[in-house]
Amino acid sequence: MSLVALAGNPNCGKTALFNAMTGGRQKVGNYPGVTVERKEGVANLDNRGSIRVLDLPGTYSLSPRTPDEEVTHDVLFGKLAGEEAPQAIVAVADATNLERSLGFVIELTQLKKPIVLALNMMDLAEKRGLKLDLKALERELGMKVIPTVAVDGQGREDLIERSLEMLSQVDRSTFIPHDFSEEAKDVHARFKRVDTILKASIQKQVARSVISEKIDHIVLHPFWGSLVLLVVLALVFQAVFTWSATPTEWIEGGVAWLGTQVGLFLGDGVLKSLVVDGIIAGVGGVVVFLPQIILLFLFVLLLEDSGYMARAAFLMDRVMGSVGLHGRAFIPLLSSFACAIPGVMATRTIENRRDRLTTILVAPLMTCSARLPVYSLLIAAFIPNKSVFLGLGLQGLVLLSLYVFAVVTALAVAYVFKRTLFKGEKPILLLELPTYKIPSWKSVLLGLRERAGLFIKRAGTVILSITVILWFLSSYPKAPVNATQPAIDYSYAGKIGHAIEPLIQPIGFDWRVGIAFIPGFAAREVMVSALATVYAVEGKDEEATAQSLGDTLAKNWSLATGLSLLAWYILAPQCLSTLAVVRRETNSWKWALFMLVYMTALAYLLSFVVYRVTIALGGG
Amino acid sequence: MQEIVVYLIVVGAGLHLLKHSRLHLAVAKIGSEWLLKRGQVKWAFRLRELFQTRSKRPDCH
Repeated sequence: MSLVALAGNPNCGKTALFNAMTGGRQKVGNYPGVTVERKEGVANLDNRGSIRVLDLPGTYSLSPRTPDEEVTHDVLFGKLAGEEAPQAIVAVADATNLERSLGFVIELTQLKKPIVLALNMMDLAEKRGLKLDLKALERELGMKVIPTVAVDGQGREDLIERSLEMLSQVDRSTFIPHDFSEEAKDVHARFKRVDTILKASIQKQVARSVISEKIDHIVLHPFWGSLVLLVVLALVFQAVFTWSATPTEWIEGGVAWLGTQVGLFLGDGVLKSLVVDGIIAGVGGVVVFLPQIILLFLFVLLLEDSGYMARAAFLMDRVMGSVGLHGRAFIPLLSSFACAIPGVMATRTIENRRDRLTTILVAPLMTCSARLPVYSLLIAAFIPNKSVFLGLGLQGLVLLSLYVFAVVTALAVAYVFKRTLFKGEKPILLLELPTYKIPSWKSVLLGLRERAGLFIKRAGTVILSITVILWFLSSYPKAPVNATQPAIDYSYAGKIGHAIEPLIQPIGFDWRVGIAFIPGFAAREVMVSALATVYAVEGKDEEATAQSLGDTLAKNWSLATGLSLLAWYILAPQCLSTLAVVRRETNSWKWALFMLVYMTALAYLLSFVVYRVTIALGGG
Repeated sequence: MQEIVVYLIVVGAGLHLLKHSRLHLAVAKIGSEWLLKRGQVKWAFRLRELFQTRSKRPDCH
């Protein structure tokens, strides 16, 4: 099957178009730098045929400066090892910014391949007054022009049909554009030519968006913009706690009911212990946080899609620049709030290796969604649910402060790295601000479905498997007949926990936390299911087993221990997948191990300080 | 009977974790290199091919 590549500037809607053509569900975002890898899919058009479509990272020119731009360059020129060069190109242009987009389209003509031009976001451009003579534009460029609205799928069939024609030997020659070889080489000549093309084809220019400028006047203001950002974040974290309370209670009730029913059905025995104390307690302990995960991502996706996140990046550039971080680091750091893995991969948009390494090493400090179940559990157990200021709850504020503390720590660590390991000049940020848009509900709901699906899949696979293994380790070998201690003390897990205890006792953790630490290295949220399993297996009566994990922890742990574990999770590098990705992206185990060591040391130090200070203040 | 079911579930979970951790890929790589050194080219490539097609990059949320 023949291959067509989508190429264009960042944030012109290539991935949205790719999704529309192939029915794919790749992440789209209203900011540049979302796609950093090649993505492939198949586009079908009824019975007329199929083509393979390649989505490439956005680039402003064919002279690559960053690793993601290199991917685009190498694929288009057929230089990427093991990668076939595309037979034809779909150049994607942002109709609201034709001047910039067409410069790259002209550059693409030097590939001497059939090209069609997808003029994306036409609805937005027309709404802002653009009147375009498409025939004149086609004539000037020597290529077919197809107006598209990728988010609604408009222009999809036309685009696939033209792509099929481009790839057929009969029509192929009609898609070879004009020869722009002079303009492709010289940037001044290129933009002069773009000017001529636009003069011939534009009947009415896109009007400046007055509303957008007024909004930017406030949200990009150093003081008012920072205030807006703080208020937005406070509201998000408050909503994550308050709005999720009822569905969380429903799920908790459902898990407890399921445990009782399954227990009654299975009767007493080892199988009941595995299913009720192991699987239902462990997996259920994590699944109850699904509403909070969904709410957090709902807000993140809404803010991303509206175009606000890129403004937040601009606002943060002042702060990030002061510690020596590249402004482009904002997007990787922002992505790391979902998961450090896409965050680390998103650093490919940073051209300088020193800046890129600094960003990779601090990205896992951002609060990923796997930490949310741990935070929620400990906050609900140890922080009183009371209102403190203008109706804002203390629990929501503590959650916000954990996120802020992680950001501040990441900046401080970056500051140290930039002045020791990766010395260099402060880079300048050039970031294109996307147009404000009403978020597309389809895109937001798709994003939410994907996030919720991944969370549930993870709970049903990795977390379930770890829970089963942990139950086994906590239940075997059985206690002797004349045992004086709880049965778990005689188990493998109990022995491992007791062996680790001397290491973690100075920071306030006992052997039970030690048991939960080990599987917690596979993924952070597994800590919750592991604690649920350990306490359920240890539970002496049914009442204790039926108690929610939060209540159990509040009853068994001191405030100092709870806060110390919270502190540990802000900084601890407990995620093997992240370490694997850091190794892959840096091409060396050296940096992955360095990250593991420095983050563990910081986490231990912070936990120690928090534990000791809380005890000194009477919280022991 | 219950004990047997429980052991089967535990073994299944262990195998799933092994697959997820991609430990089998590392073992296959080491194994195929070991076979290559001993001149067992055919078996070395068979072992590598068996797992290579199933390799995935690590993912998270």
